[in-house]
Amino acid sequence: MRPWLTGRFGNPSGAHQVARAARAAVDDSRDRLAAVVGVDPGGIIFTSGGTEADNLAVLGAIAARPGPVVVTAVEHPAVMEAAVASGQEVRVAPVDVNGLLDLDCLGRLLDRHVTLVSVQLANHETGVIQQLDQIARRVRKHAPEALFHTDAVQAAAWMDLRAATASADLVSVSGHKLGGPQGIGALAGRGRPMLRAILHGGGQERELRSGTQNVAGIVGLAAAAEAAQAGRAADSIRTRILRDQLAADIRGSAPGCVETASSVARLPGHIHLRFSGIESEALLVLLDDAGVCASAGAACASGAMEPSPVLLAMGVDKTDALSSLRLTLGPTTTPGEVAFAARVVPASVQRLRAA
Amino acid sequence: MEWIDAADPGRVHTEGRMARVALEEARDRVAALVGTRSRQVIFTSGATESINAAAYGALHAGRGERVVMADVEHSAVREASERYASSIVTIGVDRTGVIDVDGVRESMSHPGVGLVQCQWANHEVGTMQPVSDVVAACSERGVLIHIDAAAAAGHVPIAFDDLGADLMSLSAHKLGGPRGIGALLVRRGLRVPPLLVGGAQERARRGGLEDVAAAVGFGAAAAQLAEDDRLGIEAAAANRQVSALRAAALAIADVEAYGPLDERMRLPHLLCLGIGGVEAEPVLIGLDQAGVAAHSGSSCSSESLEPSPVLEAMGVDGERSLRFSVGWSTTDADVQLAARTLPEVVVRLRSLTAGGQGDAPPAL
Repeated sequence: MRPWLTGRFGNPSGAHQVARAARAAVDDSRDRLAAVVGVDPGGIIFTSGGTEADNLAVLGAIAARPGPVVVTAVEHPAVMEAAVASGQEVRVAPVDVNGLLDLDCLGRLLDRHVTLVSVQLANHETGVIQQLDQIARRVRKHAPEALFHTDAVQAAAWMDLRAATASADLVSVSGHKLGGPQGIGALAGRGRPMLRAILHGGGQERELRSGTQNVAGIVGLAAAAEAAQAGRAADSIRTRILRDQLAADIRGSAPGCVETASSVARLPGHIHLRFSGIESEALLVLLDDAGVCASAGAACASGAMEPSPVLLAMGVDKTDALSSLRLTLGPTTTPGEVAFAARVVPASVQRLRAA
Repeated sequence: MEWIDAADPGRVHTEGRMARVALEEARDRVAALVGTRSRQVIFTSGATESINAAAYGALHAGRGERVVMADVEHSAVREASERYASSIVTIGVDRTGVIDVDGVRESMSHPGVGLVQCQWANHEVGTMQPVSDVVAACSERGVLIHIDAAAAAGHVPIAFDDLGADLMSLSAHKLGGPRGIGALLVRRGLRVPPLLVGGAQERARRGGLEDVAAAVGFGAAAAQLAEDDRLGIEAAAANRQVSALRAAALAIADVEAYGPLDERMRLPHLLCLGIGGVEAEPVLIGLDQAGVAAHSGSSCSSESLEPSPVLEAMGVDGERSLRFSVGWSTTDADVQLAARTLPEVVVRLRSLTAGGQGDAPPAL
């Protein structure tokens, strides 16, 4: 992507030579991302990121065909707040203690008037993976007219997105969560989705997302998606082993530690822990001093210490929700870093308990 | 561009805080370029998003759902207004593209007007609008005003706070920064609902992880322009180059330069020409073959080959219009090449047309 940041500045919609080179780069990237995601190139809409992709799916579908929308209680705010902003009836499907969508409850919320169902592929806080194929069958059965959207932003680095697009009509991904650049994302659909744009003017992305294309970001996103796909199998196994080791070590040496949703399918890099009697804010500060980057709730909410809506939806009480810690491992995380965190986290918890 | 691997600036860990510092420094630099406070700057994915967010936000602020604008606005402004307004009151422009300020004032007597759209300068012709007068007219009536400054920012001085406008859109790539980043300026004390939701970024005014690398690039471009009056120096250079090209073009028979005669009323880097007797597309191709990049109409619609609504609003023939722009990388040799090539291409095309029809000799 670097050539597109430093030297090549053509506008892909222009007609001159520089512009044609930029357009060729965008088209090539579209083909490559489409192959990774498992849709036709015409089904890729490049956006400024996962948030815009989610907003476009929700607001775009509802603007094209107004009607009730069904979301889970653990959706990312980019989906949840867009649903609320649409002004339509929002039906919230509950999850169980592990954060899994209750299929029967979902079935009861669906009917032929529903125009959009949005269920994340994996949760941004706990990493819990939803059973998209089963959910899709319910949607097709009870709300055959509805578009089925999945927010795959969190899952994209770890899961085969061709399975997601086989179940869902619309799939959101984000560049930086795939190890690519910030400021780029995409909404992928099979065929031309029934959407109305939210950004207008210029008519780029087949009238579904106007604005001069971010060529460097687009090239970076496609390259990151291909790299993630190529490394996924090995990275997943390696990361899962490290993750399970780290979780076991922390649980073993920090009394009163509960691991969230440890018995269900989760993304390989996620650990979500609760330490009774500890405030996560204080814990984060100690961890950062020691050189461990962690997070309390959703990233967008950190700084404002509100209990995580995801945990509350899973039936965790408010105090416990405020004592949670999210650690994430990536393909570049080393065994040494994991061993370090396994020492520092229990020691920091110990210090806070002693204080 | 070392921030290409930046962390999430919303996190409290060290990497996150470093990204936050870089982001806020970029915001300070953009604010300084356009004469406002950093808090007034919301980073977006580009001018198109800024413009759509401005239209959505202003029209959902409870003040009225009608928009007043002229047809010379950028397609993003026109289409965002069509999407988010209940209806549009169109005002006229003169033959040089200047909007009718009295028309704006009168249009606000229509019930339910919530937003006036007025570009700082036109993206095709370069005509600068009387923005101070339009802002004053809006303040009298308590109607919000959004100024699309995407074509103007970085080319002419802008002082957002002094102007007193409510909302202003900026694009980074139009002033030498990267693509995929822009800004929406919001007047101090004004709150409008956000278009992109789902995260408290940008003081809860725009959801979505900030693109730190792009913001840093935007900030760097803004800082360069603000330093040692680089903006003024570049504008003077652009004006000199455009004047040379304009003179060469006007020496060809039946060629007209659109926009105000007075160069202080135009953007310094744009030249829009009307060329009699030939269509724009073959001229563009002829120029491109010689290594000169030009546009017909606006770039977004150049593939569709539809006549420019801007020129239509001005009452001139859009199908025979060409747009040239010069930038920091344009050399005098480039301008000389264009000045030499344009008459050759036009004369050749005119003789082909004339030959094909078997009548009049070439027009030059």
